[in-house]
Amino acid sequence: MSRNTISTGLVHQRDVAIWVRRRLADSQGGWFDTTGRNNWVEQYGTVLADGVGLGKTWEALAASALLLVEGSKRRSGGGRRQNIRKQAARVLVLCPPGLVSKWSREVRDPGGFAAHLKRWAGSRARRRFVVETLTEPYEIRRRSDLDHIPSGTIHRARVELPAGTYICNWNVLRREVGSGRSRLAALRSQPWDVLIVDEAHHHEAREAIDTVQNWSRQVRATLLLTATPFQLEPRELHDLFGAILDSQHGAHRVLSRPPVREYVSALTEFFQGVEPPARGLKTASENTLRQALVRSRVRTSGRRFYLIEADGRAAQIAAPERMRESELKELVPSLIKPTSSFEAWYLRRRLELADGGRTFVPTKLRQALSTPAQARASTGRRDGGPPRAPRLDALAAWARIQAEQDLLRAARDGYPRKMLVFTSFVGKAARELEQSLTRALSDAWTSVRKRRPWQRMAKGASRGVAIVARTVERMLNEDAILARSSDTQRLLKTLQSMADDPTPSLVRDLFGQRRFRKLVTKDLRYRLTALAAVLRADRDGGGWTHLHREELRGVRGTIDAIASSSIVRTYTGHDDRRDRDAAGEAFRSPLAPWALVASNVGSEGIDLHTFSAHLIHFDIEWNPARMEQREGRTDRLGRTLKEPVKVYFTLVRGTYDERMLHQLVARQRWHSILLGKTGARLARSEDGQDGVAARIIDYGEAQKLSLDLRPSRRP
Amino acid sequence: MSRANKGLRWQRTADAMRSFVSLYGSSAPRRAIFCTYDFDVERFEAVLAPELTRRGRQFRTLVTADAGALQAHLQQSGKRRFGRFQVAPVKCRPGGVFHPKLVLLAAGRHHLVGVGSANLTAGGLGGNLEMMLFADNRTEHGRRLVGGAANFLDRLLRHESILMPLSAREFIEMALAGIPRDPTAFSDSLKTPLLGQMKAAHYDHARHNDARELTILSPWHSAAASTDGVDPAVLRKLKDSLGTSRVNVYTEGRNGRGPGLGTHARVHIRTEKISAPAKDETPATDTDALLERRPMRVHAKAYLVESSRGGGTLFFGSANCTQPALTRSVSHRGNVEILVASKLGTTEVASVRNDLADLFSLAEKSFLVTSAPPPAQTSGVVLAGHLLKGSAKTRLRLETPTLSAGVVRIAGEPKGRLIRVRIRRGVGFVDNPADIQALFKSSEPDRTSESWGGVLWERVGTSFAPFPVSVPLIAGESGAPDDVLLDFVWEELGVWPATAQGEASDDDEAQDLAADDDKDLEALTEAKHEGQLDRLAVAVSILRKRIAAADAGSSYSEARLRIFRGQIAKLDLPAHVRGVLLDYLRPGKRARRVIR
Repeated sequence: MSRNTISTGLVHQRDVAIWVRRRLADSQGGWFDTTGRNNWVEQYGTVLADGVGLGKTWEALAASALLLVEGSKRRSGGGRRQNIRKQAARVLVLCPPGLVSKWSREVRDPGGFAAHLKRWAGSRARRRFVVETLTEPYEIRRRSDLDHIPSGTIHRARVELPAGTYICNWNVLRREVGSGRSRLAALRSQPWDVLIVDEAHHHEAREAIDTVQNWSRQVRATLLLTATPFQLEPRELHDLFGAILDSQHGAHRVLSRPPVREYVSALTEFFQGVEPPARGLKTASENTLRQALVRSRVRTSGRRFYLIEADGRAAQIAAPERMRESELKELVPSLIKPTSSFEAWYLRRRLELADGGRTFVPTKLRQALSTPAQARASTGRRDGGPPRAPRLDALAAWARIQAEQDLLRAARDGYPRKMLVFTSFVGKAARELEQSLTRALSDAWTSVRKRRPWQRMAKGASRGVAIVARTVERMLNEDAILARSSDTQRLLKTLQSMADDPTPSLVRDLFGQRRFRKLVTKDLRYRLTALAAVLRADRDGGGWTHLHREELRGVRGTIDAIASSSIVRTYTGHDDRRDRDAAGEAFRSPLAPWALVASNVGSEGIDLHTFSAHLIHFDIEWNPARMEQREGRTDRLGRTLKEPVKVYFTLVRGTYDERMLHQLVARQRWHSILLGKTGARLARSEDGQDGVAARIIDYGEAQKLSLDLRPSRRP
Repeated sequence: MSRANKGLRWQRTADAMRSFVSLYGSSAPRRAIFCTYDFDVERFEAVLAPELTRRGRQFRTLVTADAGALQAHLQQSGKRRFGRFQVAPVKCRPGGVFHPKLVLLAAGRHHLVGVGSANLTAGGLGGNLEMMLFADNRTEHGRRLVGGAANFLDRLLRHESILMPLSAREFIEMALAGIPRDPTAFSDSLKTPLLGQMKAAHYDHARHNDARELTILSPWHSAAASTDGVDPAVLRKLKDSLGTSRVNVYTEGRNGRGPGLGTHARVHIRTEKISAPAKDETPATDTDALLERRPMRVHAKAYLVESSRGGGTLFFGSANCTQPALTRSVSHRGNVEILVASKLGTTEVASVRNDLADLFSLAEKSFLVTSAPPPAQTSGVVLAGHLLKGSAKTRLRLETPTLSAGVVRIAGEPKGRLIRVRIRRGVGFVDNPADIQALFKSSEPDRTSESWGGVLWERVGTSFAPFPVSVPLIAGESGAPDDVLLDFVWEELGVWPATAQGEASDDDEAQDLAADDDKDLEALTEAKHEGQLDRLAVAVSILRKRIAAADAGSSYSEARLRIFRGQIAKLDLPAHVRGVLLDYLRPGKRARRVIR
């Protein structure tokens, strides 16, 4: 492997890493600062904007590894050599509070990125320090965690924290810091070799970056990670670019450069019926924009989109970004037909809202269309709810039908196919969804139990559980530290009692399937290994290992979740953080829960992809970026299921849902073009008036318009 | 142009409408109903239609004309398309003609009524000597006349012998909603002959039966196929009935001679006296001179009954001095006519006489009176057609009130490709898109285009008879229910017809809109892509708000709500949705507590 490349197993990740290294450091190991050799001299960062689930974490880590090696070199006497003193590298990762554990796991996971990193470093001393820096992170979930970081050294009256990677909840840095030599002040003012910001499109991220950039002695390279660099309009890119271009008006330097500015306005005109932009302008825009933003791959695999109908059937539709307005109208008859009593209730409610001015009307309407409790809440009266909620009924009907099919398939091939339901409303809505889905899945199981393939499989369930229990027992015997843990003993007992207890349950029945048993064993082995690592680190002690207790609690929660029989769980802001982390972990395992109801807290950053086959948008978000993020929870690299993710919409006919869908499709347009979705068929207005359009432009034309932001070999 | 020194004011028919539109044209909804005997489409489009447009916004206009006269006009003129108004032929089943001349303009709560003798023809709009009374509802008298006009139209719709397209009936009902009716302001021939009513009215005014002199102003065979004229027999009847001793007839002469109407009538004929300007007057400009030159052709109809104690009663309107106009009711082969009675004092009588003396002079020679040719009769059975634009396709509905079942054959032009239409219960439909295409040659009238109507032809024996086809003014049966309601809302907001995008686009319009209108427009625009239930709710809510905001008394609001309830009841909506909307529009229903 060459010095300047690092393989992560995926070509696009490697390409991005190399491209970042070339953009931010020259071949001589010098950082691009103000040398004037580049046409982009003031750049010290870049935006990594691959699609959701394509491994931006690994891209960022790989790029960091390359940059750290370059940064540790210096010139002396015409030659280059490694500077030992410079090998004290510091990397700061800023991320939302919920993603600290995920980052920490990604960094530490011995079978994950660390393995690639170690292979790349080999026995070369000059690369070993990078492995150490990047694989032993400090986790800062809250301010008090800083007290457990090993105290640094005082150098020239400044506190210098030890070298390494700091994974920090960005809220810690957003708050009032105070002066003096506090650890927080030290964290803020450290010289950072690489600053990585995950989900950088959030305004919290922007605030945290500002704090670091204002106070830090030096930030050499900034890597901003986001799958959705702008939410609604391209001008939101300004904010992002402001963080990586060293000038007050840095953002303008990219977006307001003639090619990009002209291209955006030419596109606007194109949608209003004028001729498409010239080809040269597009290439120039690509070259300019690519200097700040790179997007190597857009999507993992083909997603399939469906509309759930009132009777629980699902009709396949085109992807929203490929739809044109006339197609939208054709979709209307396939939407959920509400009952007449609901229609009457909704109409009365709508009249009431139309009378009362327009404050919060959209929110109230969206609430009214959600679950019965939400609808009741939207009226502000105790008795004001609708008799039934069409969406919930349709979802339950669909879930029952789908679960029956999926359970029968699982009885054949052993793969569980799970459902991930996203809702914008939490509290009672999530609870109602949970209950409704639980009923639907139980009904499905009750019905499937009578079928012959399932009965054949269920016969071997007791034996199957016993086999898994024996495997776990063997693993505990092999590792004393695991055997001593009360958590693992509890897991073993749960499995053993499940084997002895003949009461059938959905999960227990599946143990009769050989491949399912294999999947469970594999999953448990992975978790127990992680647990062993944590326990061992805890036992060995050290300045900061207690921080792993968070992880320990997560693993315990996971074991609980696996052992529990609840087939539907929730992942919302109303749940306790540990409960919901445990629910998320369990959802990734082949065992229960079979369905997960998630709110917006579950729509970004986390991995829920392993066995999830169906993703249901119980309600639509205004923002296509958020929808993309939701879908990204399931459509990620590393899914165990190989079939395409199925995305479902539950929309009620004749109501505000039609507007939401319309808006979503209309807003996809900018995303499609500026973010290089070359395959998107774009709609073009014929009358020049309406936002979305009458004529679909053909594939070639769309190709000509879409910006290609893949990293080029020559920056 | 007016000269108010005399009893009558002289101006063009369109002037009164122009000033009403410029004063009140910004109020909405704006609607116009015209009743005429003869209808000249080209002249109407050139002269009146522009007056009914203000900054791109229009009055929703209905022209009702006599079916026979309209057919004769369409047969002669090459007109194939109409502008953005609806033409409704009216037929009197027993045999009379539809002859009233009435204008009713409504802009919000303001109304203008015009009644008299002027048809919507070149003559009526400027070429003839006509007599019209215009009044708006600012004065008590004006309110009475508006109420009288509404009352007449009401009775017209209810009359069993009057055949009129359904959509026109619907529109008239809607336009009249909330106007307090006055049954005494107008005399009409719908139930009883006008002659008896004239006698009673004069008696009512004079309080005793002592008519001294009768002055009749009426045309004389002014057109070949006209229903106009003075019938000597009717003259005698009038004289006997009113008990007058002397009769003066002011009419049009022929080569300086007047018609020989018998010894008891003194005949005056129209002459132009060029009086030299007085010395102290400034010399008239060319325009003034032009305007001072008054028309020669007499088309005005008026009856002045003078009482022996001074003063008298002036009747004027559409009725000529003929049998079908004065001595018969509609059910007995009479015409549909209206007259307005006005009580005059001695000086006012003198002024009117002066005016007449100024325009007419005594005929010294006479010519023999021959009977007038009968009025044009309709041929064919199709009264009118309507283009109903559904969500999927366009249908043509033919109304044949005189044929309940059978087959008619129609074509897009005389001797064009014939299309057979089966008639059931007086209605027939053309559904086939190819047939529609053949009839309209790809330029079918459309709500979004400039042309809302046209002419089709019915095969009658070996010849072809034209009949008008139009897009109904009230979208009612055509289009989705939410579109129909939206149409009402646009009209309430004063943006009618809505542009193709369904929004007010003109800058001027935007300036003219009040802040509330802006909010409503915004709400409508936002609801554009929402579901059908939302669109219905937003439209109905705005309608109710606007009606309540009109602040014109509860009876006005209730009447208008009733009309909208009627419209909603007809819409193609599921019963539960209709129920909620009707309940919401129930008069007197107070808004429920609003949760913001």
